[in-house]
Amino acid sequence: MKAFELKSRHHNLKEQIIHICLISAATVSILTTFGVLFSILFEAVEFFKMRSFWYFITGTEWSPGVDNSKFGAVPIFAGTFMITFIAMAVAVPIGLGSAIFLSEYASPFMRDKLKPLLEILAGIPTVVYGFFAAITVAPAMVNFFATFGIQASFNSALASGVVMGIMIIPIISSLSDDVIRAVPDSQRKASLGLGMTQGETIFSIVLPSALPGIISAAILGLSKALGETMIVVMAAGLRPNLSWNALEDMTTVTVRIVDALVGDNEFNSPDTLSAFALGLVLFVVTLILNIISSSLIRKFKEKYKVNTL
Amino acid sequence: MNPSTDNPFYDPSLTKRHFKAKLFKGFTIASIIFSISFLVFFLGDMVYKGLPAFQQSYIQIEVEYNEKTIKSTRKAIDRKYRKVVSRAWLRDIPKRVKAQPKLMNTTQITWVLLNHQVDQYLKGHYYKVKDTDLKLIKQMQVEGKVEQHFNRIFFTHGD
Repeated sequence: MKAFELKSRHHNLKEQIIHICLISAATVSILTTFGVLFSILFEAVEFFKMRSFWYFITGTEWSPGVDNSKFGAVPIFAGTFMITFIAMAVAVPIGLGSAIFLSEYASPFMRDKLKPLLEILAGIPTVVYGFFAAITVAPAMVNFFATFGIQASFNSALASGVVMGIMIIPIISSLSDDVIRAVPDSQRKASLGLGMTQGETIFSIVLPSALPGIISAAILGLSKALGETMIVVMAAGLRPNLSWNALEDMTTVTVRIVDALVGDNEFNSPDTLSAFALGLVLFVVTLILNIISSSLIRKFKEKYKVNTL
Repeated sequence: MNPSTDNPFYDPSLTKRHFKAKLFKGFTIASIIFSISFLVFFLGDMVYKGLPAFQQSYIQIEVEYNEKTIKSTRKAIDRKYRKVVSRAWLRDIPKRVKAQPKLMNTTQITWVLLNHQVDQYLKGHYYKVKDTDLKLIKQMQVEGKVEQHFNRIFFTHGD
């Protein structure tokens, strides 16, 4: 009896140690998040003491580094959303299509061969994607549009957006493939048994059940697109440009942050601090996206009552 | 025979539904083909564009090693080659003699690095080379005195 108690106490101690380890790991990551948030926040507040917040979110002229520097971030956010939109327009249909093919149509053999191949795309460094976009894709686009008599820039938002989309395809396809495969086979069989075609089964039975996972895959891709810097630096340019034309050069928040922080500027100048203001807005945008996605996911989970996902 | 009346299982919307299912399958196949072919194209493009950089163009000419040419390395080679040969290669002549003292006061037929413009011309890219120099290179090519060698400098030197 005593030996048993001793063993049990020993067991409890181990359990407690693991518990403490896990809690401290979680605390560290949470504290880091808050640390990052606050450091951005305080520097951003410094920036807004020097420059008007209102002009920052509504102004259309971004001209740092000059005497009468202006910090209107609208063109930068417009560029970010334009490029992100293009990237998602490429990545979501193609990524989802690939995922559906891999999980529903492909034989296990084919799937085992194709999936790692797709994941190679995720392993390519973004710098390499960047110069691929700048050296191969952008000139090809210029030539392509020239045949229709449309003039495209060699630094086009379209080229960088498309390449960024391709970069995101494996993220969406890989995650979606996993969730689609997690949909219970009984649902598929029931639908097919009732005389639905395979396409209808996928579209109206499998995909809705897998939707929470697909949404989180898309959101992950979206945050990756929002945070992407290297491709934009190389292929879309540094100039804030407010335009609806995706064939012009544009720039994104992350690129302006890099541009503001590299070099030997004085740290307390608005030029440098503008990076933190931009970072703060990016942070807020990502936060909002996450909130929207988690509420969407909850809604779909309630609607389709899928517990396995 | 009229299928709509004779076959109780006949569903007039079936052809359309099957077509839609096929279309959907086609779309998924197209997207995976697009992704994979992009990968192939991407890797192919990288290799195609990157591979030539592992080679550099050399020319086989006489190089003189003596006191005079060590001081003024341009004089180590014949005047007509001066515009096509890499100046960095010539600048390394004193170093080369130091490493191999027996080169001193000799004239060697060596493979000498061509400059980047000629190198780009030989690789079929955009170049800026004078016509007379181009003629020289073409002639040397016919004589088999222009070769591409492995780009060792890329791996052993910073700049």
